[in-house]
Amino acid sequence: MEVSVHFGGLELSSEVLTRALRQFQLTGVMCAAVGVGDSDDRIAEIWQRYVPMGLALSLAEKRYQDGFVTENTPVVYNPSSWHQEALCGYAGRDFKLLPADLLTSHLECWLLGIRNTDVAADHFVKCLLWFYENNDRSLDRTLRFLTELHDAGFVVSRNLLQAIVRGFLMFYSRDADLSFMKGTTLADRESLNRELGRLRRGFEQAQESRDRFHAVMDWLIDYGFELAAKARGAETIDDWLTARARMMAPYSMLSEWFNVADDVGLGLVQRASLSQIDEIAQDLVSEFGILRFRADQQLPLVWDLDLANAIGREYRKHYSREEWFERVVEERVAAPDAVKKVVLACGGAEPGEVRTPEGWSVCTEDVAIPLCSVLGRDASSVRRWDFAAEPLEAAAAGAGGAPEGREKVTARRELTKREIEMYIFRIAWPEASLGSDLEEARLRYPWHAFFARSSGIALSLNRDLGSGIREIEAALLMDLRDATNWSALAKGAELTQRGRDAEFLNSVEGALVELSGGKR
Amino acid sequence: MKVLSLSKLAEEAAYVQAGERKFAGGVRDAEAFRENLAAVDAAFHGVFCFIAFHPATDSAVAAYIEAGTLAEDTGRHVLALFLVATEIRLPRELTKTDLQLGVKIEGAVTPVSEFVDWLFPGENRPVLPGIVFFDRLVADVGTAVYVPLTGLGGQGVTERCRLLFSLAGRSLTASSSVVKVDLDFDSFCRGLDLAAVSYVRVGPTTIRGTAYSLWEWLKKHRSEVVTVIGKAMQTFGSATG
Repeated sequence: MEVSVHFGGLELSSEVLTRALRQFQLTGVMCAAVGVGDSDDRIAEIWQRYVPMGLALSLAEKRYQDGFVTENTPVVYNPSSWHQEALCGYAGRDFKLLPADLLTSHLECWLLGIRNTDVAADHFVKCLLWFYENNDRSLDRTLRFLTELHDAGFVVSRNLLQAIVRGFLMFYSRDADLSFMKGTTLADRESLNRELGRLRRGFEQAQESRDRFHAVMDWLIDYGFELAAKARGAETIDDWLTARARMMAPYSMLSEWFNVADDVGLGLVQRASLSQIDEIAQDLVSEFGILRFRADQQLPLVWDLDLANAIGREYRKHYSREEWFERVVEERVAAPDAVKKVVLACGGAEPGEVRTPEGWSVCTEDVAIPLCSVLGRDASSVRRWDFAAEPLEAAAAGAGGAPEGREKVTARRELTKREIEMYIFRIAWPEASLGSDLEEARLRYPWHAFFARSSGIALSLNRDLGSGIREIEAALLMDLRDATNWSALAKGAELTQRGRDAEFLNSVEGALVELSGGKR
Repeated sequence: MKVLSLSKLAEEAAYVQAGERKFAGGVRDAEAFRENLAAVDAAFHGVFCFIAFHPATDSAVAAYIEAGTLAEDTGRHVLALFLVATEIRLPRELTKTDLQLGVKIEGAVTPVSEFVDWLFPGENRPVLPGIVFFDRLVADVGTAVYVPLTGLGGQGVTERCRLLFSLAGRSLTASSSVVKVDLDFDSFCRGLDLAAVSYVRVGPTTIRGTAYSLWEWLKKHRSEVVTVIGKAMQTFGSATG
């Protein structure tokens, strides 16, 4: 279940904060899918982007007490800011959580995860074992909790997920006596650590239960196919990219188990299942590799069917023109069923000819911002299409280099900068505008907050307040740090008779201005 | 409960056996069905069973499969097979519609009756529904035991199936280590006798006398035979939540 917040009487603000929180959590998932290395810098940048969200959530929580509601949000404790007795659980179901505690848990799990995988894994394993012992010793519920923590973005790297699974298996497959954890609280942390350490030291002598090991493997394999089914069922490009990102770390982890299938004695059905998963995992690696390459080359952030077309060449040798794409989608999860339907409705095609259907190329800010943050791209300067060859090559040649070299990347950056400046000038000075500049800029740079906000204001002035507010909301989600986005949304709330929202959004804008030393 | 076509399981088994990864995955081996099945024979340690029923008339058996405990009931060394209407090449949840294969065929020879007719020709032919336990897919089947599930209500079918899988589980023999596990058919039949469950057993002589081989039947119905994925999900805890 996705995280959501609701403050009474603040419908618009709750909606925007829910989306921001989901964006923030998806950033964690993207970190694991794309990889952020082992430097704190990227995490620090990401955190800075969401400081205004934390500020807004805390303001709302203080002002509208009991308003902060999360629906079954999985969370683990953090050592710095935690006001619960439980070590972990579902906020909204097991306890009421302060926004600051939730965000601190995310941040500390991310930092710990990239600094020291083993220490981070120990933290998660302790929480999982505690959850297991205090939730009827249900393997199903415990593993579900772990996967939901991953889906919520707590597990910052692929290695970390594997380390957590191995750590949990170490205790679970030896049927370790965890009764000392029953009914304990965070105050018992020291004794819990001590007892877990004692158990670990005795593991060499403890007999491993193959059945318990296989039960965990079976569950994880089943979960792998569950993730594939979710991806195939995606009805929008956002859902598809989110589902693909959520597949990456679990598939990578399962792929590693496939590689040691002999050593750990996995059975035929498990191996055959893992073989399929391993195949899809390789596709995912390629897919996220392509995204990194595009980021490096300053190319558009679009989803296309190039990978499906490439895989399709071999399938086509065995299946008809009508069948091969269906097979590729079914077996390799290379596209959602909704895309398959559109493609097949055209009567099939040859590999290489299948094109991305309308509406499936470009995601919204809900996914683009997390993805760009992790890729280290400035989303506002990501163009929907690449420049035409001619100006690009001319600019590259002007930079003194070969048109295929790094100069092309520099040229793209330079052309983008100039183009954005031109649009901003024309939009800011309507007398210089050609009339359609705003629409063109909005289309060409789908995640540029200024263009989205300007579009929202223009729509509102044309009395299309609904669309106008949606555009301003999008602008805010593209750049939460720009106080003007908050005040613009406040104005939209005021114009639609949402006084409480307007008051709140203005107060966030004020707090942000204060935070930046009075600069607007 | 998730299911996967035997054809895909076999492709992956051959693919795993070959030990090399290819860009197009297991698809290249799709035609080599016999070799793929041989890889299943080689890699699977245990006994195969085929649940023979007609989805329209044997609703209690269909309901048992739909209930989703088959994977847990069979355990890791019994590979349960049954027929579905569509090929399933990536494991997914079984639906009621999947079980509707041949539901509209009345009086004709269904794939299920074809299977049972081949394995138990002439006077041996048992009445459907039932479960056939057999030892190999490609090489000539050595021994097969058919246990009818006739005259049992919904709960009766579930209890009988669980009893059979439990007896099979207790009759497995590990030759020298756990690496190779087979069903001891003598021990299994003794268990059936003790539990007063009727059955029909055929050996190599009877089976070799038939012109048709199991793999040919599997080849004909390769898109329709499925197995269950995921075992013992609920053994160590409730599956709720």
